[in-house]
Amino acid sequence: MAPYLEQKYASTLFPLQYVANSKGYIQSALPASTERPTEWTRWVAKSRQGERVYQYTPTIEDPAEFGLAIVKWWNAMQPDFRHSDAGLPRPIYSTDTSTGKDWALLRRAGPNGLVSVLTLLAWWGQSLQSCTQWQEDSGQLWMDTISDVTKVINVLKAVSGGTKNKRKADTDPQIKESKR
Amino acid sequence: MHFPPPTSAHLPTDPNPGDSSMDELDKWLSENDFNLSSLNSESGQADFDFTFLNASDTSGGGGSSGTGLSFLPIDHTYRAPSLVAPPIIFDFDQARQNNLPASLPQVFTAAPLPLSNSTPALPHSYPTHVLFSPPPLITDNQTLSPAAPPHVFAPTPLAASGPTLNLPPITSESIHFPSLQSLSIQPPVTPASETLGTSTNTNHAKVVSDTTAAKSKKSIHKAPAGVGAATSGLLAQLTGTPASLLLVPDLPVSLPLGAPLSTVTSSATTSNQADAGRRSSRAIIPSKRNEQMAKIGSNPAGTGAKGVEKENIPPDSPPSWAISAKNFLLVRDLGEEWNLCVMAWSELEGILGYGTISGTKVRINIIPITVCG
Repeated sequence: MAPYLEQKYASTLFPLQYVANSKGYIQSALPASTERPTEWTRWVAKSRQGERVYQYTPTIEDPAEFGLAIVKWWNAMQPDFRHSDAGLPRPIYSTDTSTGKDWALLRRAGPNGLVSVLTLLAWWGQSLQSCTQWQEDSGQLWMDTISDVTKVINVLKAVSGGTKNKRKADTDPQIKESKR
Repeated sequence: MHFPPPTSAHLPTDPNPGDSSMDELDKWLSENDFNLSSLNSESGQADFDFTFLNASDTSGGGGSSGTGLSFLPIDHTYRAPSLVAPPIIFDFDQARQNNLPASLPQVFTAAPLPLSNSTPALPHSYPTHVLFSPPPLITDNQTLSPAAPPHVFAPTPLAASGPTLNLPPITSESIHFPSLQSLSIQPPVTPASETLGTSTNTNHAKVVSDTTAAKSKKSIHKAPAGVGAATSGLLAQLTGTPASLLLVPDLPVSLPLGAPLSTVTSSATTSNQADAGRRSSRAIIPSKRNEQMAKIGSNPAGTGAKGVEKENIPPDSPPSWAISAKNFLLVRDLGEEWNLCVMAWSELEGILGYGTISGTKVRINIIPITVCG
């Protein structure tokens, strides 16, 4: 499903998510969870008392296939102007009409935010070190993905830096008096 | 307890039991300042009737010769409680069967203690059972000397005696033998339990039946509990009065007669205390009951330890999950570009407050659900 369709029919397709958002709860998970590699879900399920077991990582038998799954999920969560038909998203990080709201779906913090993407990339990179000569080398794709992720994070940092909008102090003395 | 072998004793007797022997006894008593007539204040004469007793089988047994009193080593013998003194051996069964005539004074294993003014009065705390303490042992060849008659009422040294009973001094006035038919010895019964402290077996006077006396006579060797009953049986046989009419205080079971009073009191006091002493003689473990009771209703120490740690966390410090995730991402050297990516992510998490700032939320526009058709 395209991201725009998911956002349009979110209340129908994801009722729990809809209810949570209607009450103003924080939605900290990255979108396009259906495209998310299953290794992540299985590994997260092994957590004990909120502590993720980093000493037991899943075994990646085919790094190339695992990398393609990560790239697909990464492409699915991107804004509309960065979507591509296959592979990595388009290397467009800003447009004339783009605002901070376009990056809102990627601006996810917390244990279920961008750390999941980086963890999957780490597994992919670790699996590349044990890759045999008979397996497809996906090292270049991994490097391109790392570069793209780093650029997106930097954009998010730039966008999120001014998100703490503070209310300006009332300079009009009449308004101050009326509030008092 | 060691029981000496039974012995036989011979009194200076006449070969023909009868008046001559009585005369001899009177002579012996008079020489030793014995005045039996003073014992009976009513009749003015000695009313000792021992017709039911037979001193011995004069014809044989025990190696005795003549008609003198002999103590035979028969199985059914009465032995005085060994805790008091050396045992007295007297064959009551044999004596009852033979039923010697009343004129035989040899029934006495020893002459009665002269209850005259010269006799020292017994102290107040003299136990009643000591009245029947056995005389010194008499061997076969030993002949009783009138000058030194054995004392039936020989007092036991009080220093070695355990329980003490407050009894009036036994003098010639206190011991009264009115008659054989109406004889009943009622020793003054004092609340011995008050003196002895703790005793499971009370010292109250009880009526001892004939059967009890007979049983206690057999079981006297085993337990000192039947001393009182045996004493009553002895009195019954000596006096001819039914034992049911005799009131003899029973002795406590757990108190040895020869034990010192202090030892008896201390042991009786600690007998009810379960943990007064340990059989391993180790030190007593102090009770922690009060400490445990003091903890009831109080919060255990360390309940709020986690809360204190949470409060002491600086607000800008990364949470545990972020620290562990960063450590995992940087555990392997995946290149410089990878490290830059991880550091950028870490900075972004710090900007977004590690998922706790509302700026990371995204509201999805509520779309009304329409049912088509």
